[in-house]
Amino acid sequence: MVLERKVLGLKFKNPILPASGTFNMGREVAEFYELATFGGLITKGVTRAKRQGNVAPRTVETVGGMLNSVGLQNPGVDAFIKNDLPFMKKQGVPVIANACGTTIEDYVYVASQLDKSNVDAIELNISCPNLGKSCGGMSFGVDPEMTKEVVSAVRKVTKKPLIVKLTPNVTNIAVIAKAAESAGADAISLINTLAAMAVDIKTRKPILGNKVGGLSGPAVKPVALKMTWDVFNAVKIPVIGCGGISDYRDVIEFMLCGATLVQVGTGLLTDPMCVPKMVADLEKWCRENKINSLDEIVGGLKV
Amino acid sequence: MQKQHTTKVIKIDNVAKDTFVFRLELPKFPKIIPGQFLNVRVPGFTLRRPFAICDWDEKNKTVDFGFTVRGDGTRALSNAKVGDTLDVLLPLGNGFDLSGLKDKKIMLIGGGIGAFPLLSVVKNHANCYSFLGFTAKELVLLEKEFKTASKELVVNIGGFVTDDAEKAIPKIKPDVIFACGPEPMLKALCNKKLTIPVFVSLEQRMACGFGACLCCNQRVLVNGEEENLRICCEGPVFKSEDVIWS
Ligand SMILES: Cc1cc2nc3c(=O)[nH]c(=O)nc-3n(C[C@H](O)[C@H](O)[C@H](O)COP(=O)(O)O)c2cc1C
Ligand code: FES
Repeated sequence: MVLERKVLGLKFKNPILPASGTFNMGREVAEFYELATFGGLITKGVTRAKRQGNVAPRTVETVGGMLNSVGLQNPGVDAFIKNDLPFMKKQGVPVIANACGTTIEDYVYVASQLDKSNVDAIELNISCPNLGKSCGGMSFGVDPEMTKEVVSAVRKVTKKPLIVKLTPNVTNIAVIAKAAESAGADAISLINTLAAMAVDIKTRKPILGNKVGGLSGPAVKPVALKMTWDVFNAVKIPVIGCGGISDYRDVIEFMLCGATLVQVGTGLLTDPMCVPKMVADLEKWCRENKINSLDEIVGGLKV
Repeated sequence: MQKQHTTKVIKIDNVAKDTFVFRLELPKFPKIIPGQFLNVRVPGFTLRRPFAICDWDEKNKTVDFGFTVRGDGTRALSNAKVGDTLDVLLPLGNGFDLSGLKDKKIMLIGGGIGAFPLLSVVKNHANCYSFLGFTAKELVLLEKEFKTASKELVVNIGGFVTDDAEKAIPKIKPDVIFACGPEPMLKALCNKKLTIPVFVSLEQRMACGFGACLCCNQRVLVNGEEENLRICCEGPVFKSEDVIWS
């Protein structure tokens, strides 16, 4: 009970969610343990049409982290609603759909389809760095005006709780967070991956088939913590922290910096079993530190 | 079925240059199919390292896997000692389908460490004809094991083992071919357009190894349509004519 979170009009029995794209649609982690171990679930990013994603190889380890260039491979929003959402909704915890697009019309289509479904909330991914130059996926989240435009457009077609997920590849993330808030976002989640690349000196080629990808894992945690703190101080809506979380101490650090909920991404790939342990350890820590509600620590950084 | 196992290293063999076979003891033994793989957590690294399962012993609850040192992760793993604990996900992937192949002749074609997953086939099927190719003498591995378990073994050093196998087909008349090795070798085999069904076991950089991240894609024909399937789940074994080579 001490871990319970009430946010966005939803009840999460603990603050720990999977980060989009590291959990597919949940079936694979369900082979390890009950998905209700998480406070809530987040889907792989879904787009208007089915996407095949980028060419191989799509991943490589780098010091303290990993790169990925999956490129939003997904079945499309309608197939997701038909084939995957029923399974996720059966797990008994809130389900958040991660929505992506390359144009405003795409975002609006995906959001309005999700609005008609029984997902509990929408996480608008305006930050995916994998769609290439000709597409808009990158540009929405790096520009406050574009952010406002896409968030307002989506806000018009859905009454569901709307989380806007930010990219760290910007000069001032607080400005983007404020733009999303002013356009009607109900919460901010951050961070997505940092634009990055890896090079093979033998072939003198980039290791990823897509040449560039996104960095995630423990290496990005300090960046993510700082940005969480920046955004927490800039907006009034709840903040969801993400980036390099792999144990309960990471969760506490993000909460001290202002996160109401957190997401675990790369940590799940390193060790799918880290989540049940994180939940148990967090509960124990609260007991030992006489914390009755996690609200007591959110934003409690002593500065 | 339990997929995460806290295992103990009980044996390490240096089977060829920079190449090792580890024997792990599992607390609980799962059902394993030849050609499946495992994903080992290497302390200090973010991503696990996937390796083919090459043998197992259900009674003694042991699993063997082999690997060659290729980078920092495999280098670190090669420094593990007997008695160390390893966190391993297994069994992963589809494996070679041996059902319906009872009494049938299987031709195995392996290149380099591609011999590892094929060993799990030869250990579980009595009627195998093995063809193994290596680029150099010091890289030859598992020769004794294959010799004992196969009807026939051909080892090629420095040449094209796929050509040896092709020439032997009229005599052996295999019902099916299972192959694993470097991509150029598998491509060359597929380009021979043999009339016998060929199944290839593929490799790719992986992140999770259990289907969650979509990092291990392979372009494959599914009902005539091109799809990106996960090597770690729908693979690593694919029917050769379905594979779209890069
Ligand atoms: C393989 C992979 C796929 C991802 N796919 C998505 C996605 O579809 N949508 C999204 O918003 N973020 C995606 N992300 C970003 C993560 O959700 C998360 O924001 C990022 O990885 C940082 O958290 P971490 O360090 O805990 O992984 C992906 C990350 C990885 C590693
Ligand atoms: S490696 Fe993650 S899906 Fe295959």
